Amino acid sequence: MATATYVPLATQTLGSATSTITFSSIPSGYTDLRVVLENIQAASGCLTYGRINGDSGSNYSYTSLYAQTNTPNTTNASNQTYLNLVSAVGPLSSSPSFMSLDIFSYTSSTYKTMLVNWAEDYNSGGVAENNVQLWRNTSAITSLSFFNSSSVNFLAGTTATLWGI
Amino acid sequence: MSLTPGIIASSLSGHLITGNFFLISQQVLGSTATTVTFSSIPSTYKSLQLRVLARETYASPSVTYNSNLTLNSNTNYTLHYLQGNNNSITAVGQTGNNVAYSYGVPSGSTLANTYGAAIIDIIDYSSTTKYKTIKSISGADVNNGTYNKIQINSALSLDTTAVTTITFNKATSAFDVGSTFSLYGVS
Repeated sequence: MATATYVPLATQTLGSATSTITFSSIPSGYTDLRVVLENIQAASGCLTYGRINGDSGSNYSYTSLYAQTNTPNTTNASNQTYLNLVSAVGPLSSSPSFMSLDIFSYTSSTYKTMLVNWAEDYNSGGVAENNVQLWRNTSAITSLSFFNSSSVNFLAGTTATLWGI
Repeated sequence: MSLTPGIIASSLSGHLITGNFFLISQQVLGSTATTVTFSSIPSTYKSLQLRVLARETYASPSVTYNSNLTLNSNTNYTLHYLQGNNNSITAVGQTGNNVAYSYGVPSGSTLANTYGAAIIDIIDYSSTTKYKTIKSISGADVNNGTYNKIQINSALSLDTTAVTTITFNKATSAFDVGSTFSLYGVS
């Protein structure tokens, strides 16, 4: 018999501005994780990053495919110190962006591969992006954190939900 | 940088199960395999989602995009994809394909412990009057400026038969141990 899944593990709706959103003590009972982030930033022109299990070593890499203007772009970077979740500058504070982050086999003893879909449009620009992330660590994922470049805060009203699949 | 405390996920009791996303079957390879098949797929869902984490045993460093899937025994598909391959972009449209969709997986000697991922959705798969549309995102990053790939796909299976079997086929050698193929039904 099929098993119901896609379980909301935790949700955060910010009541005030904060620099970091963290999910900790993530349980191990699922195959994959999904994070859905509606991101309202306190300033334009910043990127959004992530870290796993608090790791700030050079253990992250990514490859992205995105459209910011009328020309598609692709880029990649190795040996990064964080998840680079979006490749182009972010929106104005009045325009939320939307991200889904799928983390595969998050408790396996292999390196962790992730797929990201990012969408933002702020009436004078925007970004549509898919990217693949790699965290070169064989530990099970038990915590995730998200933050913006230049220490820009997430504003009140930002929401983040962690799902188990 | 200091981290502000967040929600302790495991402290939440009585997790709500939304009830419309079901694990139908999952295969985690304990030995290498050239094909992975889901058969006797029930018709009771509106759509299917496949979540794949795969790697091949192929000896040369690469991220190949020749791994593929087929629906039932159909050998007639059209597809389009947009691919980022390091610093170049490729857009392709094809007709008359004998496979539905290709996705990227690292080869055995590219970077140890690294797998490519794909999320594949098949809409209205049990219809007997419509062709079947497939959409997907897939990618593999191996911390290397040469082999990484990210891709979005659409495909059409020119077959009105209800989908009861899905087969993943290896690209070059075999799917490696630890490759994980999960089939979900969305009601």
